[in-house]
Amino acid sequence: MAILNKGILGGFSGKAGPVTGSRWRGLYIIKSRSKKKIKKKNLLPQNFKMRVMSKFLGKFTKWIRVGFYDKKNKQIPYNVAMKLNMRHAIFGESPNYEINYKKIIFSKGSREPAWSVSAIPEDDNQIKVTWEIPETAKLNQIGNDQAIVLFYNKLKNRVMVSLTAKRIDLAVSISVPIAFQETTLEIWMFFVSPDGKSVSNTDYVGSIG
Amino acid sequence: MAKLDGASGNFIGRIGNMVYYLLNGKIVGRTIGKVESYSDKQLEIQMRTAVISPFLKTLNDFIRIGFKNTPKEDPNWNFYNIAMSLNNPQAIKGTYPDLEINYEKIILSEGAIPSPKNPHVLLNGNILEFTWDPDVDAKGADNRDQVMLLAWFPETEKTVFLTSGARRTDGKERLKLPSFKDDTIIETYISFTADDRTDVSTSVYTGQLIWKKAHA
Repeated sequence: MAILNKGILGGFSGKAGPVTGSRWRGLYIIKSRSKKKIKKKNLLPQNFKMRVMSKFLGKFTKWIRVGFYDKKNKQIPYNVAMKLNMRHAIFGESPNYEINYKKIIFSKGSREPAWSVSAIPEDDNQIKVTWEIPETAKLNQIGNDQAIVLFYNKLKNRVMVSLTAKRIDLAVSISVPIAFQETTLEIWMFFVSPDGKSVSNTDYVGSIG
Repeated sequence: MAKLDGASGNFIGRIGNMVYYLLNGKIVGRTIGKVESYSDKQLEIQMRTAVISPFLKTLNDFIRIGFKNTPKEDPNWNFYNIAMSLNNPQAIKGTYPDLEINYEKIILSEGAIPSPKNPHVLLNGNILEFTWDPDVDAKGADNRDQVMLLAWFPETEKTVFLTSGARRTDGKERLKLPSFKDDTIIETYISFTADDRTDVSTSVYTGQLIWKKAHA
């Protein structure tokens, strides 16, 4: 049974015969009912790839929205990220696919990228991530950019983020919570302008541990 | 993109998935067809664009100055169209499907000012030292021309550039690079821009340098 939330003028929500009505990004949409579930032996390589990638990328949805922000693009940021990473950042044979962490991207843009990134473990469970600004860069324009440093714990499939640093700081120290200690951490970073409209490409910082 | 024919008020071209065109004196419309497969020659052209556009896109801020006053084939072109038309396919080598950029033939600025004479570049630690002959007597040269330098790192698809360096009379300028962790290939270019920014010289390829770990 579908419900007309706004009477005859609005969209409807719920199942009505072969279709389902719902609201998505401010639009009233109608979808056909989902197909029967595919049996496991009939799954395609693409299905396995998708599972590996979405398990990983799903944890980063919030930051993908920043990194792939594009007002004009009708595709949602997560789908753009999924498309690009499925194309470049996955390897292996069906059904055992793995993620190539070096090629993962969480942002794509024309802003000055991070240069010479490195991550060094320090005392008291701290990790120091450093980067450089080339001499020729326009520091007034890009100095206040927010540095977004992303940490991924493969073992527990958990994400940690540092937003405390500006580009001009050239370094950021992060104290690692217990859940992230004694495992391998994968680290990426990118920059976003103060108004959020311009981002840099993602750089793979490295893995620690 | 459809174009409005001013006299009759008709559209010619594509709007959405409809195409309008002239057929036996009448304007007709039809839905756009679907391409089922591409020939190798078509794929080659697609790959050419795929090879060169990450390079040109990253250098947007440089070629915006480099092609600002370059004559265009079409008045609607912008700097990027000029850059693409000068470099694709002239600066692409190899046969499909092994296409790559021929960095020697890349042009990143074009204009009437004389290009740098005998340009050389040396890598000293993390600093690129460019030198050239200060030939102020050449026709069109001015001693207040400023040098434009560019370094491109093909492996990481990043760039460092300077659009207003030393004067032509100085004969040398340095471009400081960030530090590197691994061996890095560097492609370098040099050009001049006029003091009033109304003209540039045609860019010159100054060669490939390799930063080795042993240097540091």
